[in-house]
Amino acid sequence: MYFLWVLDFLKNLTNDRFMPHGMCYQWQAATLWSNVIGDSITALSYFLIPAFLVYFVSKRKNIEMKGIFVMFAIFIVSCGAVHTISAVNVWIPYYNLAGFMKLTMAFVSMATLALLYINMPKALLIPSPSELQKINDQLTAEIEEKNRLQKELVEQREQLQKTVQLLNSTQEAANIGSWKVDFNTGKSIWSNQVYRIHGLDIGAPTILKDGINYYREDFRDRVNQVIEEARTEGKSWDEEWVLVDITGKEIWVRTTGNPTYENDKVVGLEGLIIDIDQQKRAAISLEEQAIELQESNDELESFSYSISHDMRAPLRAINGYAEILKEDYSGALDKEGNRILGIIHSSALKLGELIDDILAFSRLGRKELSKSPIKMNSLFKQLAEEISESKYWNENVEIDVAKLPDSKGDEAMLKQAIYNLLENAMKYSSGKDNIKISVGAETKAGEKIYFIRDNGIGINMEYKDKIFGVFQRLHSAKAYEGTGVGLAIVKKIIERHGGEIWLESEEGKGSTFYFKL
Amino acid sequence: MKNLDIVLIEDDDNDAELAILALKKSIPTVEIIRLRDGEEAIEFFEQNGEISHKPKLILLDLKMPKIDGLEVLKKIRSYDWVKNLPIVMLTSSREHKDIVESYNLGINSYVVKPVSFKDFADTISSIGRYWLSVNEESNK
Repeated sequence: MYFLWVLDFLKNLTNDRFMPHGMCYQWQAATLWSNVIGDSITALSYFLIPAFLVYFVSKRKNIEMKGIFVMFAIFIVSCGAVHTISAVNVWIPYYNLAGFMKLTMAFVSMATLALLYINMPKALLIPSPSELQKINDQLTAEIEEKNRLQKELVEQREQLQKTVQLLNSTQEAANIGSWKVDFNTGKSIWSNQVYRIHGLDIGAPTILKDGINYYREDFRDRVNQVIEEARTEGKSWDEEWVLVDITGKEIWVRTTGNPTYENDKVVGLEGLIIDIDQQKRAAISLEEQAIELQESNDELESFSYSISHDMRAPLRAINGYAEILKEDYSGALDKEGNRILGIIHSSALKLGELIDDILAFSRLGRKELSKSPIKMNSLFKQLAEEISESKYWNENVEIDVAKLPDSKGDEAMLKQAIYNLLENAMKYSSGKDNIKISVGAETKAGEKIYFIRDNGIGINMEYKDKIFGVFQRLHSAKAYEGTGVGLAIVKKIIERHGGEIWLESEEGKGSTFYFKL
Repeated sequence: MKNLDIVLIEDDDNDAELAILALKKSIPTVEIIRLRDGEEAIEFFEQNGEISHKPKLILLDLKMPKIDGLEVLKKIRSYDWVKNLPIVMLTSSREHKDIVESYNLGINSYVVKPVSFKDFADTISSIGRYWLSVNEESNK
């Protein structure tokens, strides 16, 4: 029934049994054309607007809710169609078609409305251009910030690289490498120099065990021990070990290690490895030389010991029998015989003195210093008494001692040194009517300098260093007796105190010996 | 043996003769026995443990072949009858360690033999005279 009704309606779409709509306008031109033109222009624009809309939608790929735009387009087209039919209806009365088109328009408008209603919340979310602009600005600012940070990061990374390079080149120059071990992973981190010390390519992966195995076998127990102590007791180490590099070369290294902590628990180690091969080998060879030196010193000592015993025995015999001859048998010899006997006697005595002096000199080098504070003035007072027993003493000698600052040293040795200096002064003044020896002290640059001045024969300053050597004599033994060891003993004593001795002298006017301790 | 005064233990013939000469010069009546080395010395002191005439002084040379003065000293000091006899060490050595060791082993004094015979004679004579007179006193 209903179907028949619809069929009938469709069949009558172009039924023209009604009167045209112009009749309603009574064909009045103004009424008619104003309606027809109005409808036509509206229809025209209603057809064009969707075209633009479709074009717009098709061009803007990213536009949201395209469906609504399409519905709007259909809706406007249907409106355009209704206006068109309205204009046509003025002359051709297809009112069924007009009704159909209006129904269609109504349906489309409702559908559009429904779509709008459904999509409204979503549509509201679509940002407005100003909001978009704001977001855009924000985004731009964020991008700029990001770029800036990126640039900073790059700069920092470059700086870090430079620092690492500097560290590496410093380590290379100083032959120091740094390392780190993580107990959890067992992995080690080595600086470039550590690889170089091991003779390895830089960056080769390493684990703790590898590192230990590079040490020479006899050091490995110790290496393991210090690592274990660092791990369990938190101890550090600083030791010297021999490392065998990849080529089999042995290198002395100094290694230090410290535990690293996390939550009070030892989680790893870090430290340094320093190539000390050259220094160590030099030190070892120095040690060997010192041992050799000690050995030759010991030999010298036993040599001097045997001199003191074995050489003196025949000397005593020569001297002893010569003296007995002189005392008991001088009457049996003529004058020349007695003179020759005298020479034998005095030569033997001289040789005895010489041996004694050499022995004293050699003993000085070996004897340990026992230092104590020394009152220099009382030392000189004692010496003044002892010196009056000397064979060089006579009534013409006058020793004048000024107030002296106290010092510190081995009293027996210093006494010996000063005795020798005083005796030296007397000896090289002998023959003068008035022998004046003055003793004093001065302070220069905070150092106490003592001096002993005589008015004796003096020496040519050309020989100022020579006179301190063993057996160095500037005068013939005939003119001034002595063994030539006295001043060498003085110099040795002063030097063993870490001091210095020197002299100023003028031939014919006297000498001044200076010393500081 | 009538009256033994001094036992001289000295391996060097010259030194021994000079010492005896020096002592005789200073004390003409002195009775001296000279022993040539350490072995002879030990033998002498072993055998003479029972003798009534003890020497009044022993002069002992430090450096002797085979058995040196320190060993002789150690050995003879262990005999009761030698324990209290004065022993003077004679030597050429001024080595500190020799002196210290000698004193530790109980010597009474120590003489470094000088090269000069006159000095040696003076020293040894005064030592001889001193100890002989000390013993005379105690024997009285």
